[in-house]
Formats: sequence, structure tokens, C-alpha cells
Amino acid sequence: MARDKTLVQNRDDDEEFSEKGDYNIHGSRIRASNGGGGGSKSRGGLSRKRRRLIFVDDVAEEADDDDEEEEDDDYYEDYGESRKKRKQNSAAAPFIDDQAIVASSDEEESTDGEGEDPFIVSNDDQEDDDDRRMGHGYRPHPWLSDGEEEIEEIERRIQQRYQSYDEEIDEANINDVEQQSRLPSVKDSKLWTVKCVIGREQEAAFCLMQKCAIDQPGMHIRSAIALDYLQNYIYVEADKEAHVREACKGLKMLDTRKIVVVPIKEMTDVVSAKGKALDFVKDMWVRMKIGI
Amino acid sequence: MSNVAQIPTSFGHELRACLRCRLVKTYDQFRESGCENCQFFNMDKDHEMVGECTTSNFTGIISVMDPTRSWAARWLRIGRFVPGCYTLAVSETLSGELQGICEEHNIPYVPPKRS
Repeated sequence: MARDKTLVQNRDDDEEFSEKGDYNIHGSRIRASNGGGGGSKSRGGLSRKRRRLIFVDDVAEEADDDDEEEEDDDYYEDYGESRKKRKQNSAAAPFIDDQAIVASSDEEESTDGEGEDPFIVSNDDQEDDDDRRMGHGYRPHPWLSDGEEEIEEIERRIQQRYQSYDEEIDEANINDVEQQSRLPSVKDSKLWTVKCVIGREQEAAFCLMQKCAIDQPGMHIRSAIALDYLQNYIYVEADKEAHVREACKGLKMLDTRKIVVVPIKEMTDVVSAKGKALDFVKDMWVRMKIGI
Repeated sequence: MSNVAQIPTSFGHELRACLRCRLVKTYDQFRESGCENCQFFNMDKDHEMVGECTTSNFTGIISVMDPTRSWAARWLRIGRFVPGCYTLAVSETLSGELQGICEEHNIPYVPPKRS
């Protein structure tokens, strides 16, 4: 009787999209109503405070439920099934009471006739199928699976898959979402501003290239950026300030006395080349700067 | 290092950038040895291609010494090209014909974004 009542109450709660807490409250209220009688009428009158008070009890009851399930697990030896139950238990809390009823009925069924039950028999068949598919003489436990070896296997497979995936996406086929995933993080090298003689920013970038890629390989800087619209500074990408200093040593247009790191959030702004690029259209007026 | 792209030998308006990979070199360098990333354009053999495949209309220079480990190169999608001097952005697109050549060689091409 009490169970039926709770069922009804839970249905009500389902309509309200209640959370797990609600279920628990009603769970304990079963006990209350067993003793006192009138269950559903007082329901609306329950104050928040009281709900809170009852909560402690509920945890205990929930734990009991779990225990029951464990028993079921042992009994059935059907891990797939029990896992499903467990999943629902956590994800769809409002439905737990329904499930409990189903579970108990299952138990009854299975005690009635063990091997003869068609349900069980079909299960065995499935087990055999599984065994054949896995190529093992036994069925591995989904959680405590074959131990290290299998984990390594999975790891290897994931890595393989990821690698090939990475190769597949060439630089070209990247959408905005993937571009977002390339946003700078703390793991990436940093950008440092280095003061440079006005008008020689481009030259400095080329000179750094010459020095670090050809003349003195073994420098640790990754890139050097000269922006058209930013005079007096260039950016150098490196892990450490010392690397920047080392690379800039000997370049007279660069002043290494004041090297400042660019905040990670501003790094994308540096390289995103704010559209100063000119679009020439036919019959458009232009201003000559360097003669024809 | 052998696989480093030529480094521009002069500055200013002699510079041109490859429309596909954004590598920056002087016009003469492109004529002499083509583009290190886009050999299939054959700029060194067909000098007219230099004019078609490169532009002098670009903004910003980035010298990439270590493309695989550079964040900026990855962000700019030049992480798989050879080390060299690149531009941050070109504003022209490859002509349809040249895009066809890219497709023939199974080379991806991303037209620059119009803002």
C-alpha cells in the first residue's frame, strides 16, 4: 500500500520535474505514513525546513536500495542489465521508485524457476554470443575488465584514432570551432614585446629568422612578429624571457632592456591582423606613397 | 637546416606573399626558386606564375623558426609549412584556375576571410 502511494506521489513530482531530493523526501515519508496514516494530504504542507530535516534518513534508505541491487547483480550475473539499472538510478532519479518495483518483480520471477525461465535462457544465449564475439572463454567484467592490458589496448586505440584524425584535418579544413580549440593556453609559448628602432621592425623579424634558423640553430624562440600598424615594437614567441634575450642579442635594432610578456588573452589580437589589408577595386582612387 | 624557406633579402615593396601558403619572399626569390610549400605552382619554371600566385598586398610579418611548436603558427594555420617568413594575412584569393591546380594536386586551399 505504502509503495503504491509513493508511486502516485512520485508521478506528481515527475510533473514538476522534481530533483533527486524530492524523491528522497517521499521515500522517508513512506515510513512516516506507515506509522501515522494520512500521507498525501499533508504533502503540500511540508515546509522546506522539514524536508531538509528528513533528508538525512533518505540517504540511508538510498544506500539500502543500492545494496539490494548488488544482490540482484550477484544473482543474475548479468552485468549489462545491472549497469543499465545503475545508470538510470543516477541519471533519472525521479523514476527510481518505479524501477524498484520492477526490480523486485524480477527477483520473484527468477526465484520461481531458475533455468526454465525463457528470459534467463535467452540471456544465456546472449552470453554465449558475447563469449564468441570476445574470443574469450569467459565474459570480462565491464568494470573490472582485463586489467592493465586492456586499458593499454584502449589507450593505444584512442591514440591511434586521434593521431589519424589529426592528420586528416589538414590546416585547410578547419572550422571556427576547431580554431577556438587552438586558443592559447598556459602550455603554449608566450609572446614577448621587444622594443625596436622605428621603421626597422620587418627587418628585425627577418634578421631573427636568419639568425635563429640558419646562423645559430639551437635558439629557442619559435617565431617573431612585426605588425605593420605597430611601430617601435616587435613580438617574439618563446617559452622564457631568457630565450628572447638570447635571440635578440647582437641585433642592434632591438632593445632588450625592457621585454614585456603579452597576456594570454591578448595573444590572439596580436596575430589576427586587424583588417588593414587593402581591397583594390577598379576605378578606385588611391593615394600614392612611394611613387610609380 | 636544409628545409628552411629562403629569407627575404630586402624589405618594403619588393616583397610578395604566396597566395596559398602566405610565405613572404622577394619577387626575384620567387622567380628563382619558387615557393617552398607550393612547388606544384612551378613558379621557378613559369615566371608568369609568380605574378599570379603571389601578391604584394599583405599585412604583418611573422618569422616562424619552429612551426610545429609555435602557437602563433598553429593559430595562423601555417604550422605544417616549412620554417620561414610568412605574412599574417593576404587579402586576395587565388584565381579559379589556380584553385583548380590545387585541387588537381589534392592540396587544400583556404581563401582568406572577408570581414
